[in-house]
Amino acid sequence: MISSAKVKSNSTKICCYLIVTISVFLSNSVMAQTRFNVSQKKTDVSTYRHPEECIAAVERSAKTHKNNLKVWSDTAKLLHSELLDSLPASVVAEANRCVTTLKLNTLRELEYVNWIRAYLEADREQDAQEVLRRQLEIVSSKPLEDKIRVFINVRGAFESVRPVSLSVLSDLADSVIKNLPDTALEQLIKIHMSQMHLAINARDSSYLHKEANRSLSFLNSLTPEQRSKEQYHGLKTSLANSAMQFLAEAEILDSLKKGTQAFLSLKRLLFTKAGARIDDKLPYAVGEKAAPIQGDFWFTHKSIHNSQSSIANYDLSKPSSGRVNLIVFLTGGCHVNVLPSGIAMRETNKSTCWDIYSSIKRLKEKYPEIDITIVASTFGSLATTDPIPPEAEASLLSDLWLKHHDLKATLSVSSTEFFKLSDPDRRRIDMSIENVKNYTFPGVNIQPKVSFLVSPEGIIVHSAILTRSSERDFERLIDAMIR
Amino acid sequence: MKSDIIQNSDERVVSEKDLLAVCHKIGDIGSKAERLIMGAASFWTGELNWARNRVALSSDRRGFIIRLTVVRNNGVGFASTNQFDDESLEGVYNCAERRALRQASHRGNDIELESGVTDTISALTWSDETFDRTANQKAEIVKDLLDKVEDRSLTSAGYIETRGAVSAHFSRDLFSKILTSSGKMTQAECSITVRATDGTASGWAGQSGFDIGKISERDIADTAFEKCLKSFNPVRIEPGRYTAILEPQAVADLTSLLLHDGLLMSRSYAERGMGPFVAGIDHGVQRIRSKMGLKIMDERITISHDPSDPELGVIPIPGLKPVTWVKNGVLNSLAFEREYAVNELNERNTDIHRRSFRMSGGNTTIEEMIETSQRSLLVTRLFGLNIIDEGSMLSTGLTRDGLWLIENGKISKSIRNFRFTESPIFVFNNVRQLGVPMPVFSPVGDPGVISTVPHYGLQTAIVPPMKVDDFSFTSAVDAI
Repeated sequence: MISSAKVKSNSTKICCYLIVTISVFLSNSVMAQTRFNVSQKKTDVSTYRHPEECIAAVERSAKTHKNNLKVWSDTAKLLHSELLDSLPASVVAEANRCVTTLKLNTLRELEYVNWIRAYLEADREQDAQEVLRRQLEIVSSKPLEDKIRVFINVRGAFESVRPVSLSVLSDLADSVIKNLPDTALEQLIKIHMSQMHLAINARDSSYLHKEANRSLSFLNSLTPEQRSKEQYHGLKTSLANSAMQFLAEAEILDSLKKGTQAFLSLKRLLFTKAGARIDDKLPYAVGEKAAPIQGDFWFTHKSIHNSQSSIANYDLSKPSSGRVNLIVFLTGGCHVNVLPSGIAMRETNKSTCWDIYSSIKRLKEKYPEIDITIVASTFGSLATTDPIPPEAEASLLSDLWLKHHDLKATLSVSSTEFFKLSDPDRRRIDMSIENVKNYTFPGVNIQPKVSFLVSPEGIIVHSAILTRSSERDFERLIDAMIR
Repeated sequence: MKSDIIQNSDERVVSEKDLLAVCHKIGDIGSKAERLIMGAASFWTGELNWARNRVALSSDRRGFIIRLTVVRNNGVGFASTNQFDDESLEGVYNCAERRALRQASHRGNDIELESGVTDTISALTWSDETFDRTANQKAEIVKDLLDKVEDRSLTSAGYIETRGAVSAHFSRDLFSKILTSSGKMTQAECSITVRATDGTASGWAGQSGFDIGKISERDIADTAFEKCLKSFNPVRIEPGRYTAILEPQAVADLTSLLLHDGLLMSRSYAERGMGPFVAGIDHGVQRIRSKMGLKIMDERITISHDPSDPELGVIPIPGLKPVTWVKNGVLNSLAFEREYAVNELNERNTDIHRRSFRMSGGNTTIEEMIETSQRSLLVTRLFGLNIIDEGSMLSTGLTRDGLWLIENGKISKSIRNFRFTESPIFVFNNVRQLGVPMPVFSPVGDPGVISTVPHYGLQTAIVPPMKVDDFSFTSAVDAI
């Protein structure tokens, strides 16, 4: 704390004044900021009168709790277990204290969602149900869309609290599905999709099977016209894929152990059963031939770490024949701030690719037999560094990924062809590199971290964005191909 | 050096050397920081404010500030203090460091380090006359004005403010390379309003700049007084489209709608399809094109900014280049920062947005504009401006502090104010005559804004008076 004795006399009172100089901040709030210890005084929730205040209070205290948790440096933002985790007892107690100040008779028509959320956070589901009942009463004489909107809003409230009440959500979904007319195809698909996603994220296998079965029955109940309708085709495919993936997981993995062809045959059979059209290809590039990876600059982990070893000594035909291959696209958004000296590399934006390095390492450690190829392209610069030539950029990328992050992989960097718009626009327009063209399939757009698992026969058996949560899917498939 | 020396100095502002010493001291305290960026300043303000013909404030204020940015473990922490004793310096560093460590996954290395300048630019921003202007000198001018005002039973309000500041900047990068710079500057502002006590007439004049010698508070007082006398007994005329003679202040007010908004002036905003400078989608390259390269205004208009232009107030940002936003009526450039330059253009140069600008003009005087008018309006300044539609820049606001009808080459009568609904882009396409550009009253911006982007702080403008056709006045208002 600053001693008051050191404050100057009245003649030198502090005031706000403009200083046109970098980093000199003169706002009143800044001037007043001379204390360095933030008060830890608790908020008095008993004075609160609105559910929004309670929700905010709960969020604040839950955040404090969360900040104190130790997490892996590569842990993705959303943990599966998070959905079913209870809020800490202290947070629930605070929420409870807060909602006791709310009087149900003051509930206004449009406030029901926040009331429900506030009650749920306080572990008072009965009160939440009472709010829902009142709201349904209000909309009972209104058109069907209004009722559906209430269910969807309430569903959102139930989904946002922890722990998520899967049974209530399932009942709510049932209510919406029963009430929706068959013609509301998009809404129906989306509700099934969100239930599936919830089940996947919650990792509750019985719930997952229930939802997958419900989705499959829904898909099978579609009329031939609805089934062949081009509209919502992507949504239908995605739903079918998710459902069969989990319903027949064991069979799918077993078939892969027998060989790629058996795996593909089973996939196609299941996919057709799940409502696909006869001429549909398997979704997400599964069954496609993996094209050879091209590159202008190649680096291997060994060549980077052994100055005696030339890149020419390595087999650079990727994907390697006869081996399980993982092809990882680290394009565009994965460009990070590599200082030109190369000695102090730091990633500036951990939101894009920072978590994939651990996934790649874990997969390689667990399955040393697999061949990992990282595919990148030049961008003309790295983050906010000065523009650099492709060769230097490729070299910096290899330093970053193969040396600094120690990824045991082969790196292929393609020099991106580009042109510039005429003056005064001057924007650089990048052309697609061959690798991106070759690996773009219906439902699969190349974006940072998109990864392809390729069988020893050179057939793509899985594609997804490689994250900590999707890592397990890759593991199971690799396991089936290798063991 | 003992930091207490600064705190207890009798001088209005302390020396650059002493401020730099404080920065180095924090640099020593923060030896563990990966990067350290700080700005320190000592400043003085002398104000003379009056209202209802009575002086309300005559001040001599002094202050210090040190603002610190620490990068630790790739996290960024900010803290500031106005106390320079050892305990506070250590405290402010610890505070910034704690904040940095708390958000260790942030974008610590995205902060751009200034390249630092070793030579000061004070010669272009410092005026002894401004710094030495005493409260008594200001009071004499105000006394003379108030005597005149009271003789005519009028009322006046306004302020004359002079400021002086010394600042120092320090940065240390990952390789322990230290860059420092320092400088000093003065600022003067004068705004005077004279009104009829019954609220039926008003005159205003004002100017700002770093050198009070070029402002002449006495002339400003006279102008405000004369304008008030001329605006007595205003009559109400029908709103509609009029030829308007916009005094430089009105032109600056209108232009600031565009030039002061960093978003509207930004390339990336236009290229995302928003704002007034969107040309449309180029399907060939699948990009939205801005209007850069297209004519958007009268070809006599050029709008530019040179950071080393002393009349605009030198902006002490190393590497800030001169920019011409509009060249002979053609949109020549829109603002973009380093991230855009590198990612979109693969270039290292930037055109950072700044609020100060200079608009080219002609050589017609306001008197000549009046003489050559059959029927038009003379507008002193505009007030309460708001943008209604970003795409067309259709805006609204009020005329204020003097509006006159010109008939047959002469000012015929004072008229009630109007609300206008007009776009500056339409106005600058309907220019008939342009006068000699001159500095206007453009007080420094919100200190909060200055704190983050200093080039937003100075919003000086040098603009010409302008005669334009078809200015749309949409309703009469009672405000004066």
